Amino acid sequence: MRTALSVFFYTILFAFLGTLVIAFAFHIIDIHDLILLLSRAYEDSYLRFITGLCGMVLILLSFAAAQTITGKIQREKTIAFSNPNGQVTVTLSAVEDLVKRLASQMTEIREAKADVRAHKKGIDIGMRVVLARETNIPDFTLRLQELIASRTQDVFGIDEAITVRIHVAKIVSREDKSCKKRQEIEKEEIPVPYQGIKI
Amino acid sequence: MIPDEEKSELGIIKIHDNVIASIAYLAALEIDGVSRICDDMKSKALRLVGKKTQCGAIGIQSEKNDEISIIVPVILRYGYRIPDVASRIQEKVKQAVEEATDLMIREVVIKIKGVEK
Repeated sequence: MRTALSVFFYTILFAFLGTLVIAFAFHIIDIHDLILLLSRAYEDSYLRFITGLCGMVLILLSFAAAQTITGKIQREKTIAFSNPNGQVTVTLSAVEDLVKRLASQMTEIREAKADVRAHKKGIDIGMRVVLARETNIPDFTLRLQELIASRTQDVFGIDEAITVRIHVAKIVSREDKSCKKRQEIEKEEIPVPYQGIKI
Repeated sequence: MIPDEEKSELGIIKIHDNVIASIAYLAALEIDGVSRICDDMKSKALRLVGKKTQCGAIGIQSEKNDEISIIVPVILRYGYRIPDVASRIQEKVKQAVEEATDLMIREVVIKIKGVEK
């Protein structure tokens, strides 16, 4: 119902704007009338207040509509299973959280991003990783795929097939990270001038 | 929110949905593996003004035959098996609400919104 209202709101709004633009393009709206109307709305304090109020209402309605539509989309992105006491739904972002946490435990991975999609045939996990230079990529990616698939199946109790796609985006040396860390430590250890001097 | 009603000899006892939600909230938090209950817009707004609610985004749906459904959106701790934790939440919430209110629980829907440490 709320989604239908949101769609109706946007349809009306865009149809109104479209009609205005067409009317302006075909000279149906007289430019002098438009200027007169705008100048009156600009000068009259009561009309200004009404216009401002309309603007506020439009912004609020727009936020509400956007939230309803995106909420609907988010609701659809779930994995569901039933227990005797009721249904359990797991959002795909929860699966992404788990995959990222699993990846962060592996020393070879510097950065990891996950994108999870659910299909009728199963679950598709896409990973974008930044690896350390010393890593043997074929061995490591195979190990990572197996680990993610098995842990996800185990933790979520999913029976469907899980496909894990890994995209190695970058390879960085260990020094890169240690250099960054050293710089951060140096920044933290900057002595405060005149510290400890009593006047 | 429609308060649930119960007739006694002396009059009507009404249990507000917020009360059921609070019981469910506290019961769910007792389960090992639950990190927190998700907040809705109202809870967030109340927290901004310094008021803490104890029902989060828990939803209560009253059915026609005096049964209710409870929707619990949760964030779980990393390292736990989700079906087990979800099942324990369902049992605990159902038991807690039934014991406290004598209402019939049709189902407890668990929505896992995230995993965190």
